[in-house]
Amino acid sequence: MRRMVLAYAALTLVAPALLPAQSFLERMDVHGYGGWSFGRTVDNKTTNHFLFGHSRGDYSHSEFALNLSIAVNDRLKIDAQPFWHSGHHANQTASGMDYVFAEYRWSDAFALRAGQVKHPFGIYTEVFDVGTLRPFAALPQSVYGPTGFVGKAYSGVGFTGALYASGGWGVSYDVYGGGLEVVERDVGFQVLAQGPDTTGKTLNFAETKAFRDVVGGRLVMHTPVAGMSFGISGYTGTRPVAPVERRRTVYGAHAELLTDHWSLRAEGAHQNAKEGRTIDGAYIEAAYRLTREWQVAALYNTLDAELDGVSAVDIARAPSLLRHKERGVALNYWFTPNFVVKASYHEVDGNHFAQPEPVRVRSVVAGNALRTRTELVLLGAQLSF
Amino acid sequence: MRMHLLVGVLLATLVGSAAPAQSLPFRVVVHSDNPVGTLTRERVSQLFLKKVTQWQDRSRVAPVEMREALSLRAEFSRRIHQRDVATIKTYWQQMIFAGRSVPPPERASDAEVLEFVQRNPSAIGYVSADATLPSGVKVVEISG
Repeated sequence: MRRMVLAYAALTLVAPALLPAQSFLERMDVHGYGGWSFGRTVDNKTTNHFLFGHSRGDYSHSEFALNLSIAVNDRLKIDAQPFWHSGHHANQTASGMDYVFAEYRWSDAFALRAGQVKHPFGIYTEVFDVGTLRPFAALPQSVYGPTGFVGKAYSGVGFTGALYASGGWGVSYDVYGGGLEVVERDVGFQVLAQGPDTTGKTLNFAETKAFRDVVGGRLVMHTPVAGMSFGISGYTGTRPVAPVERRRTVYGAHAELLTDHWSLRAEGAHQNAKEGRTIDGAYIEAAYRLTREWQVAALYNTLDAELDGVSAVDIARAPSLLRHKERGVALNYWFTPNFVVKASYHEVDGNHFAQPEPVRVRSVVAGNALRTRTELVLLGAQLSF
Repeated sequence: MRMHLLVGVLLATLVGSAAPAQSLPFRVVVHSDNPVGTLTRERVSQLFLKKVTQWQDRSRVAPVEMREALSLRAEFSRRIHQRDVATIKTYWQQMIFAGRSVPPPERASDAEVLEFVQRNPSAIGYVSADATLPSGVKVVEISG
């Protein structure tokens, strides 16, 4: 995959050679987005981290990405999006390619995409980090958090297209196959599964899992009511869990209504993994523009997980690690559609996402010191161009 | 007297329904060689949002927009997309960052839009209702 990414990056750089210089500039579009967030939990004694915040306050979350689109001709285009971000885990910084792919379009209804392509699942995967496209600073965690539902991009081949009838109905689709890296942090599951005796047992702190032989798709129905759409998504793939390959299947449904004043979204997803767990996540999110600049928003997130083969006694040590119930409210000021300042408050019951740093989860659970309730305040500024 | 009043109201209603319910402050224009004569409001919206990207002859539609600050852009957005300019900008952000599409080029005046359409047989744009059309450009009627 790394070689493919480098190859496409090189192709992006040499694309100017395929076109006269003036023509190349006319055919290239450059956009980008960025943001910064500060988060702090209200309880300054909690060890829980959630989203971008913890008890000491975290100023370090920031991100930036450039979006490049080059129309080589009327049918072929190349898209690339390099990114950079820093986060609160040990002051991590990361950079790379969100995606880089070529798209050949025969018609509105049929196009081929090949490379590292944004994962088409649900509402937000294709615009994962673009803060000006959502009312809260962070995505709804019950579907888009590090729980193994979604990936940022698949590496492979896909087909996409859309058909719109004159009456206002339309349908758009994506079908794809290849490899998929899924965002996931399952230290809590491991702590429960290992039980109280951790002698000789280590924890895996990896935050992504690589799946292969993935087949997936998304179907979206656009209605004559402007801004209203419904969709279903799903994929299945395998990854090695020694000594065998384990299959994971994920599917979900979503609904969306976007008007000048309202932004209403609801989504649910189910994960059925032969790795020994089942996860259900859902959210509902509503935002309303009081004026052109001021916006209020509310969010309810819920997630429940079940672990196979783990005794009830072991789960009883910290059942909150399998649960996330969150209510959030936000107040946003939109200077323009491309620049917004957000303030939000989140109240969480459960520790599936709101938990100590991964290296401390085991010791906190062993010490019976896990706080199941977390309150977080987030401030952020997000932009796009 | 009452009969005269009733007839008068009836006539006014008929005349009102025969005339366009709302006269538009803009006209949608295409190249003279384009065989399209009438488009529904929804189709015009789909063309400018690049949800439909090909004419019947499979040539690529080339929409051209007015600059965001112009009042005609706001009128067009409200009447054709039934959304304000800010909402349409959000739509384009979604398209851009999903790697799906990029917005049409923008022009700052009727004259610049007409020049764009005149030079491009696949183009579609809109200009003020009282703009003088040069040769090589024709109006498309909007129905629905």
